[in-house]
Amino acid sequence: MALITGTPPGTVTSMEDIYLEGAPTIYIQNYEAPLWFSPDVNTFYWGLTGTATYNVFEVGCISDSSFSEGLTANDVLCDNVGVKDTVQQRNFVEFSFNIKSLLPFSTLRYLLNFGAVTEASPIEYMPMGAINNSLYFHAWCPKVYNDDVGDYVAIMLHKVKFVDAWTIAMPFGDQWNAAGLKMRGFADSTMPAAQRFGLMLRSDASVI
Amino acid sequence: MEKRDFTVRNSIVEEDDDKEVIIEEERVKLEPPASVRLKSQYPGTVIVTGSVTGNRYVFSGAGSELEVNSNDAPKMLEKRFGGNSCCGSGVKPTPHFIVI
Repeated sequence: MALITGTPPGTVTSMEDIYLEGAPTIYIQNYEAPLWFSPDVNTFYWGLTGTATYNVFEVGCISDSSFSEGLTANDVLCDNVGVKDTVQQRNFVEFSFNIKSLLPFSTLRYLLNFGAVTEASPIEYMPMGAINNSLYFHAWCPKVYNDDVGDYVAIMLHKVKFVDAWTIAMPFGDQWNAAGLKMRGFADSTMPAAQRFGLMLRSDASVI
Repeated sequence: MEKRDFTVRNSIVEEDDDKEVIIEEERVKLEPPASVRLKSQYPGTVIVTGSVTGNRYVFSGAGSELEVNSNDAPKMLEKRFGGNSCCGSGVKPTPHFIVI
């Protein structure tokens, strides 16, 4: 039988005409803080809830953000037939972005891996010392795509750290820009294997 | 039946036939507590000099608690950190301290 449109017969799922646009908002919280849903009734671990001890920090004015992963992939090469398969392992997931909102230091210190801040009004001190490699965060990155009804997608990363070297550009007549920030999500062995790095979720009552 | 006069605290209005007699009682003076316990929400050390007493308060980090002279507390409770959200999330500046 001829396929007039080229559509395969049988059950076919097409994608939706909903387009996500722009950067999500990025929130981070100390890894020691329990997640908001830990787990929820469906056994998924996600969400942040701020406390006096463990504030949730909103990362301000993001630009050039992207979400990617680090992967080890090795082809199964048979010398007589060629590559029969590729074995893959996820090493990490990673958010890369720049920020233009650099204050207060009490938030910036985490993004640039500086030391604990001290405030003695009207001064806030941010010491630059060795990097604390034991400092991890949860990250929650929601993107609302329908403000009217609150439909959103979100990326939850269970255990992240800010890695790699950053650069703060200080151009004349333009805002400072901290570039090269990388928030790397590691495997969290305290989580179920299927959610080891985190999860993405979508809330949309009209279709789900 | 006894009725209370709402304009005078701790008073009792006695109805004596046609005439009302207001009997004044001793007013209760509420003393503010000498100190209040504040918890820091600021993610770092905060050093505050009391605006009234000049006392020096050192909060060692988020979640740390101190007894603060009640005269110094109001000014401390006004302190905020962080800005209004730049990205539409509606996050407001966070109070440095909360009363516990």
